[in-house]
Amino acid sequence: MIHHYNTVYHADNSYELPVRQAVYQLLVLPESNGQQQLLDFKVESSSPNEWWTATNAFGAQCIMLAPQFPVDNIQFEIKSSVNVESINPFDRPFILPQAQWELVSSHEFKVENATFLSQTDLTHFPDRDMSHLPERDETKPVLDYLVALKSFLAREISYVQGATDAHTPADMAWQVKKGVCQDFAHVLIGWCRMIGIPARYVSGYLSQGQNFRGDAQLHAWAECLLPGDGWVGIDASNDLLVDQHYIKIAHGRDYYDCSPMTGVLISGGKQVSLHRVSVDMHANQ
Amino acid sequence: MLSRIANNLFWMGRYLERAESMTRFTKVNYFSALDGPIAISRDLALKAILRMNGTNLTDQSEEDTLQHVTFARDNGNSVISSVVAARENGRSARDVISAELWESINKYYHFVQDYKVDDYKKTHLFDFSQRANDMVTVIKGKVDSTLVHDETWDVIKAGLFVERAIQILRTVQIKYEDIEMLAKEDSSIAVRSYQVATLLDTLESFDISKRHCTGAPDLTSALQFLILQPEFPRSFLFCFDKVRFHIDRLSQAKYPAKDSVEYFIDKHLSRMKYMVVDEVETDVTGTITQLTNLMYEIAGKIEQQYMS
Amino acid sequence: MLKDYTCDEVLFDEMLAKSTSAVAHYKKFVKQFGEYDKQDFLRLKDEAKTQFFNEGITFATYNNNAEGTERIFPFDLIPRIIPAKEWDTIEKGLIQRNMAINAFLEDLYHDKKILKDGVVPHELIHTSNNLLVQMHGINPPGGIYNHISGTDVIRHSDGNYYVLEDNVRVPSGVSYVLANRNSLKKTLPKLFRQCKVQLVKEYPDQLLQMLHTVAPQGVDEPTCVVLTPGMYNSAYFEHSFLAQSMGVELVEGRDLFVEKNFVYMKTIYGPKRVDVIYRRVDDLFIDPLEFRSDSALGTAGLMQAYRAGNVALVNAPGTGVADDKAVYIYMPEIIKYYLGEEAILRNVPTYRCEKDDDFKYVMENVHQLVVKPVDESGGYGISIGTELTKAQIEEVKQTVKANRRKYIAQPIMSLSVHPTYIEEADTFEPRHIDLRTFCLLGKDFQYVLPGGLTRVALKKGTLIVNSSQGGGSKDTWILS
Repeated sequence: MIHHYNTVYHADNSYELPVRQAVYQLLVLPESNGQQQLLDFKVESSSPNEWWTATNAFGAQCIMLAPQFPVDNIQFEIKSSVNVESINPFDRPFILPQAQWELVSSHEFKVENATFLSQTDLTHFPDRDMSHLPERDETKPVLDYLVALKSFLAREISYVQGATDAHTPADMAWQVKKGVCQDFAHVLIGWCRMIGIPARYVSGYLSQGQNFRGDAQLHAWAECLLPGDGWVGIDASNDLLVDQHYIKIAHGRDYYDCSPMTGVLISGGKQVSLHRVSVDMHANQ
Repeated sequence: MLSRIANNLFWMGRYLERAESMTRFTKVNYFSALDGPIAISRDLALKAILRMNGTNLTDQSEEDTLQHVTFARDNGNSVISSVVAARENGRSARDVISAELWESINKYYHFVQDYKVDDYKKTHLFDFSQRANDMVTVIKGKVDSTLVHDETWDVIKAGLFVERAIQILRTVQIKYEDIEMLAKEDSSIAVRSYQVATLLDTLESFDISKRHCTGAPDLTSALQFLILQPEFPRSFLFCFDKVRFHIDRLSQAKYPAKDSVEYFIDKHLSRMKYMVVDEVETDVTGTITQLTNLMYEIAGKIEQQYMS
Repeated sequence: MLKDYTCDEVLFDEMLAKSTSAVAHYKKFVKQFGEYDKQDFLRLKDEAKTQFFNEGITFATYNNNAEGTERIFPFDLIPRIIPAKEWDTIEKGLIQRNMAINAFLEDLYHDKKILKDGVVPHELIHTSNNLLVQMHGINPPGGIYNHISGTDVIRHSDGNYYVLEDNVRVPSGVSYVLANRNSLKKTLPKLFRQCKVQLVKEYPDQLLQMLHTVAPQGVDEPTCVVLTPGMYNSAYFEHSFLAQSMGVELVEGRDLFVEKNFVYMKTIYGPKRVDVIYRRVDDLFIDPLEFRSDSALGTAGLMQAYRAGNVALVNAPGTGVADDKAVYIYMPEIIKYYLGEEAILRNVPTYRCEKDDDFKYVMENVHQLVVKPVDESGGYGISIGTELTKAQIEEVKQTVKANRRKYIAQPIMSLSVHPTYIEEADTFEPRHIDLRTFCLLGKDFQYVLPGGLTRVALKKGTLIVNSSQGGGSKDTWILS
């Protein structure tokens, strides 16, 4: 079954002094992949600008925007419409579990996936301690273990806003046992990489009105690579595997590769920027 | 040509002219005070030097005044600060100016940099000023004789003339204030014409003006000569016209748009050409302020259109 | 003047080559040079020095002073001479080596075959700070990564040439080669004419030609620029020199902007499209959107334009992963893997402290090894075993132990020596030298500058030739 969604991303930036020159990169367009199809999008801005699309380091399409005149306030609105196919994330091709776990330690697998096996400042656990993690049973598929990790994480960390910020590393969030979707994703990614499972950070929209956590903001989750199979999305903050309620925007090594708005500004003085992000997503039947 | 480089060269021209102007003003006013007709001459001259330098300081000793306007590095308007800025601007554009021009700027910089400040303050003010400004003359000669007369040349020249136009107005204004103030205390013709002579001297125009205006120098003829004389390189109108000349050459438009700096310059310059000295004299300060603001606006428009 | 010159027998002297009189390719020079007397020589030396000063051929050294100090790179008038046949081999070896490095980089940023095949340990690459994830899958115009390589070559006491290190990020020094030659030609014209030396002055033309070969597809008359961090950079003179001698603009990051994935420079007549950027700004500073966001030296969107194939970056970002000193060890295997050839130029045997066996050997032999960090340039952090006290040896051991991945060690190569005028002694003495070469690769284009920068360690006995550490330079003559 195909679900049709409309998404709206809105940002509002104010500056103490007019910004003479600026380039904004917006990473907010749903990507097109096997499960979802970007049908159309519209870019609106409060000031005259040039805009174009560009490809980032991980192949995602971003919208680039350059205001033509100095601005002290600028607002953007990106509307897109997207089709998402129903999926059952547990429905995987059969691979012998032992063979799958063997792949994890194979040389070629490590070389091929080095980018998403390497820790970053936001994902690494300096003590590399894995003793507290659920026990691994290599007679069961890799996905089973990842599901167990996800549920363990969902139990251990409580979803609390304000305890962490955009730059909080995984081990800090784990220590305070509090965080938002971004922290859940970073912790899970850090664990997976320690085990040898390639994992990446994903930003996206989450269907509203389903009582999910994180549906009022841009959402974040992890994608993990099942050896011999493919990537599976795991949302530890909702203790769920990703399905048709999720719309993916982009992936990267961690949050820094996926931040929805990056501005490079030239301004005469101090900048006070206020970001107001609203995400509106609803299904059209 | 890169906009940034154009901007740096424009400012190189401005700083060179600014350094030269400050050096000359200090020299002429300092020495003219030595044999002035009234007792307060020396004090008045030092105050004028400080005002020309745009500082709020008052009641400085002679040596402190000289040090401040010429060698103080923490004073952005001092001669040495202007020289350093001129050189840094030139250095950033070394690949587009001639080696000879660069060397002459570098030499000027080293001369000012290495000059013994004590000598300057105590005995060598004349020597320093003369040699420093001779070096500026050499630099300007290199600008004209070693550069291709293309946009690089036009940009430097535009900077030189914009700044000179502004410095002429500043000089006239400051000396005019002195004349007015002294008139209240001693309105004798001798004192008045002495001050007018210093004004002309400050712009190294005294001797030359005599050929154009006979009789003892009076304010009217001095204003005529320094502001409205179309053929004298140290008159405002002359410099204004040169700014037009160089910006017109820079422009690629046959018919400049109404919002362009070329159009703006042409419009104001043609008005200026029909200005008579009576208009200036009715409100000297008002006219000077207005012309100064005009020149600032032109400089701003040049930078906006070509250099940002 | 050189007739009393002697050299210790354990050292390899370029002029004497372990005999008592000059070898064949120095004979003509020695004879001609003998016609000058000491007074002439000193006068000529001063003239050359003044010339450098007037022309402002300087470099700045970093110290605590933010302004930096401008200094002349000391220049020794006695040229280093290499016969044509020897040079032929070096030239072939350099092209071979740098072509292999190019193939290696292309592989690392695409299929990583060499890692999968286990020829180079993948951990070595994947732990390198210079591997840029932003470069994965990008196809640079013309297929070139290391357009400009500055390979350092030395001659050991066995008389053989060895590669000391590869430099494929932004190698510098070529402007001194041209300046030295200019100066020497003016100072010793007769000598120069007699000896039939291969020319170096076409380098800027060759460089520009190379830049043209890697223009983005469909651009026939590319606009090339040199991108500099600005005039406070230590190599600003070189940036400005190269721009001027190629007749292209010298731009800073703020002169450029990106719109619709094309790069433009701001000129007095509006935006002008830029097709090829010879950038002298380090990788992490070229684009604040993809690398260091606090960089004011770069241009936002540059990498996107590069990814779209609309601009060429010279050298490509991410080349540093190949000149890592730990990767250097595998260079013979890398050459064989991609070109199926044996390396023409020798590698200095190298110990990787990361490997247990090597680490053990290094710990026991610090006193007779050179220990270097893998990721520093400019001669910083190097320790030479024979020059260390007992305490210092212990210190080095501790440093290495704390970060084994960071250090490699090599036997102390006895760099060859060369007669050099020493001011304090007012005489000619042997001093250690090396050679920074310059190799250009473009699309179907290869060029090696005949000669290069012979750097000389002016301090007696020392082996460190870097300009920032008190080294000087010589003109390098390749006979034709």
